[in-house]
Amino acid sequence: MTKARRNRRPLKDRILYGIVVLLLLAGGLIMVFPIFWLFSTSLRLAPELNVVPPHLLPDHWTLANFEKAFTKAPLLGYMWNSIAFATVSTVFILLTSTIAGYIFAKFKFPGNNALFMLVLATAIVPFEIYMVPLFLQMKTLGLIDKPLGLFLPFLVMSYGIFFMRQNTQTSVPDELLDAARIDGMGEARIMLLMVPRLLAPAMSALAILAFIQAWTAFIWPLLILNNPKSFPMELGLSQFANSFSVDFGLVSAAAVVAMAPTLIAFLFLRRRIVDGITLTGLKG
Amino acid sequence: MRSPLARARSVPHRTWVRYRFVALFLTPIMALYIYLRILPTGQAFLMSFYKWELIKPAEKFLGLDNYANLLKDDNFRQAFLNTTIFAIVTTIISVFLALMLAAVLSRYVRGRLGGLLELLYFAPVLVPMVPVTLGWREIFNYNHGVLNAALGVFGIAKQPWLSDPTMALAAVVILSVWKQVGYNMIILLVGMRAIPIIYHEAAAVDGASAWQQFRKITMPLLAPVTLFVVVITTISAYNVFTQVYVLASDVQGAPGKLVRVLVYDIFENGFRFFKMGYAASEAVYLFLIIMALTIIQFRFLRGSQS
Amino acid sequence: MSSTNRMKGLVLFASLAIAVGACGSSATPAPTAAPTAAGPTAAVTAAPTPAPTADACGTAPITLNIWGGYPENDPVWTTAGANFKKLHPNVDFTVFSTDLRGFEQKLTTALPSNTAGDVVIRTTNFLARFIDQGLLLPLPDDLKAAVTGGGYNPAVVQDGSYANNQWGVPLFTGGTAVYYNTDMYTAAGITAAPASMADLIANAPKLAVKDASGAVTRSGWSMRISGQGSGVAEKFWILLLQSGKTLIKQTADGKWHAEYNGPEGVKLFQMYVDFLKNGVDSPNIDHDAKAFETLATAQFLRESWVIPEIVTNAPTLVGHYSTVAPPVGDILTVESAFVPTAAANPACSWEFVRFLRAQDQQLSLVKTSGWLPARNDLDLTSFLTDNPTFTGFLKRPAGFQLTVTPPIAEFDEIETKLATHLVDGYADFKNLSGSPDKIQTLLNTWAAETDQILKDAGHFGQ
Repeated sequence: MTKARRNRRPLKDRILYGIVVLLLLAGGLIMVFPIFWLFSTSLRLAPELNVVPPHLLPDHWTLANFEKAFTKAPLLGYMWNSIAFATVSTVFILLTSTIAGYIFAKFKFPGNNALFMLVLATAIVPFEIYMVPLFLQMKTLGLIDKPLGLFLPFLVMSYGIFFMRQNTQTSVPDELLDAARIDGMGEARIMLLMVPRLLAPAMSALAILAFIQAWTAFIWPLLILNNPKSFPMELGLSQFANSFSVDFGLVSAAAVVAMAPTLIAFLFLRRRIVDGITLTGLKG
Repeated sequence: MRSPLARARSVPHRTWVRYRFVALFLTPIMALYIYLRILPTGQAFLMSFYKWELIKPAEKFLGLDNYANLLKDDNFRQAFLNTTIFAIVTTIISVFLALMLAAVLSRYVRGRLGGLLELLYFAPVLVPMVPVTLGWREIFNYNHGVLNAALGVFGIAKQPWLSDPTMALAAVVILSVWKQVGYNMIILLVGMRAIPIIYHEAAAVDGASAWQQFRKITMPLLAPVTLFVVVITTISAYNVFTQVYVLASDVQGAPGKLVRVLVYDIFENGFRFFKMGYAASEAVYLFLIIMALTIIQFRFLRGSQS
Repeated sequence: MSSTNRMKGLVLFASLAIAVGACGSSATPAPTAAPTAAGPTAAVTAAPTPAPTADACGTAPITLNIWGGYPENDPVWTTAGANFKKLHPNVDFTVFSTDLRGFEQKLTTALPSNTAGDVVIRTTNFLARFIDQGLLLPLPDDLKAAVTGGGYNPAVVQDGSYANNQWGVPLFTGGTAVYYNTDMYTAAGITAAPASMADLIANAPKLAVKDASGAVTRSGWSMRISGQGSGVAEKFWILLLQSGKTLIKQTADGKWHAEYNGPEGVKLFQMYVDFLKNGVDSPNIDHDAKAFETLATAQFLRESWVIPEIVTNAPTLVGHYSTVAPPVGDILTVESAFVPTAAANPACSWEFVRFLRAQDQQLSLVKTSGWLPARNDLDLTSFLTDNPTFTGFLKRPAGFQLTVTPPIAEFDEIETKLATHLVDGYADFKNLSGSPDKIQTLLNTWAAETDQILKDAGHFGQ
């Protein structure tokens, strides 16, 4: 139908449409160029890196940088650490945010508002502000250089609680809850079995946000971890880049490895990720 | 409908059950929350009134001295100025571009082609900051950087992207707009698609041009979403750190001109000069800026909804 | 033609080396006549490494965490750990390092919270405030005797003494030398190695290359004009030392004040901005090691770690460059091994430090990462023969002055803030070049800030 309509358009409009599309495509290519460029430089050796003007593709393709990167740094280990960290963090943030958000939205109890305002107020405090006192608390608990010390601050998310409360208000009707209660379902069963089904889109959106947050965490792992074997990707990469900053081919190979999981995830879960991001964004 | 009497009789029991439920599930979460967020934040605020080093906590109570001294501190003033310029310019450019893109992609270019374009513009949002900043640093390189080579094609002279103070700020803006614009576009796109098509069709029947439709229909209806995007972008811009840190950190080669921003200055004072209390008061300033922006957003949103 | 000139350069070096070989180097403010690294060493080479104390590490499994701020040294510590394990099978190692800034940040949180590594490698100056708080252990007696007993340059010992005690075992030092590209020197018709500041300044314009539009494509001398942290001020400091002045000067009563705003400082700053204005150097091109490796500069000053880096990153440059000591003096930074008070097994930590102090470990350090061994009783003759590019670091001219970092905690703040100002000042070169009055005013403003920081810390004195 659209095709038929488009063909009926006057020539002038069709030319205009063509120009707009070309401009957009050019802009889009510029957008992915830096990512492409990392790939391209990772496939060439040092002498080619300083050619003026730069060649878009390597003159001599090589995987040597990747071989070297994997021998110089435990990149796969970093990746595994990141995956473990991000997964644990995501699961717990989903759990704590959904429960707290649901309770704040649907239950009246003394202090409900006060507690929620507290969450809201701390949601905008940047991490850098409180990380030193937090570090000292972890120390008191004896959690320095322990996985739990890395994970603990990433088990709750202020924004997550806020977000799940908003979504519970809009997507979980009181009538449904009351009906379930009349059917004799306990509160715990309602919350853990029924509500998540209603909140699934919001939860998957929050999961993406939480995963990205843990995946890109940098300062906290730097402070709390001492053993390079337990470094996550982002920290390991910056250490790597500092050690070999002159050999940019090598650094971009490591950078490509660091980007790969997010790019792959994006290609396969594109729709879901985009939807998730808009949802977490708009309900804020 | 139940009688008032029956309701009064049943409420206490039900309420008690609910309280128990709330206590059972919310207490552990809030305990964790208070321990991991509120306690350390309160501690940080406390530090800002002291001469405080990690190894010499609460050395001397200073009242508001840290806050007053900061206002006279050249580095802080420069950081504040740079961050503010950066935040304003980044926000204006990235929101403007995102609006244009969203307008075209929501009504004009659609289908598979539209989806592909969406994908291209959104891709930078997801890639981690450290690797892409490393890539951009090479692109900005004066001699063999792609950007200067591209400018050369149009007969524009090479620009010192990383070494000149103004250009270095511009470079951070370019990189950040690149990273942010896709996010803003997606949010605005959803906002635009939510506007019922009937408005546009009615306007078209009345002979309104595409531009008039955009100005008279899309913009007003999109105002709350646009405001949200503006505030989110400004807040994240005020927290800028990784980009400037990576762009200016090259021990062995071509360190760029450091664009001093607030979070960087906080780090330097706290971890390099050991002035934890001083750094904490600087962080409180940053917090106040962000809080002001958030309040503005809430005010406007409430205003536009009523 | 170029090879004969290179030969001449080598001959010149050889003669210089012979002339300098046995000469003393002296340290400010405590002048000494300690032998340089290439000096007589026969007596010490024979000295045995201290026998490992068998029970220092016991038999229970121990993991020692070694912390350092230079990732290029990781292989050195890892290899040393593996060798140590042969003597103490129950001891395992982990090595942590990150860039210096991240490392300092980490130490700042970890030391006070008793979570730092078992051996921490950093400068005494940086760690002074932690020593104040009792967070680091003083040296055991045998190590103290070894450090103060003449095996180290007195300036190194002086740098490591704090609060009337010795705290760390010096492992490596960061000396500076001029790296210069011999091919470029030859092509510019310069046959002698730069032996004075006047030489360096005169050579630089001849070595710079501009393209048709007048833009600099190769600098004649890559100056440190940007970057974060204190590096920019440190390079300024080293050049200031060549005219006998320093950043902050100590008074007779042990107080300090800014000295860089004197006539020598103005002259030096002027040199920077003139170079930038006249196209000897340019903010638009690569700098430092990277520039040298990519042939984008003819000469620059840097520590010795660049030498192995060139082997890895720019192998074609090997044999086409040389190093020469700065003409008058250098700063001395010493990275030492410390043991935190909170270390789980201090005896075993110290045992490993003893092991690191041994000659073969010190040699492995310079061979692996290029950092200079802190001991000066090592026989480096054969090393130097195999690695002549280390000449500039190991052969210092007669009367060479080593200046140690002032032992006051706020010095880093002074240096970092000065660096910020210098970067802004250099960027304003068009305006400042040729205006000594403006430069003087500028330097005075910065010096006032420096003095204020000193006053705040109670260390200021005219």
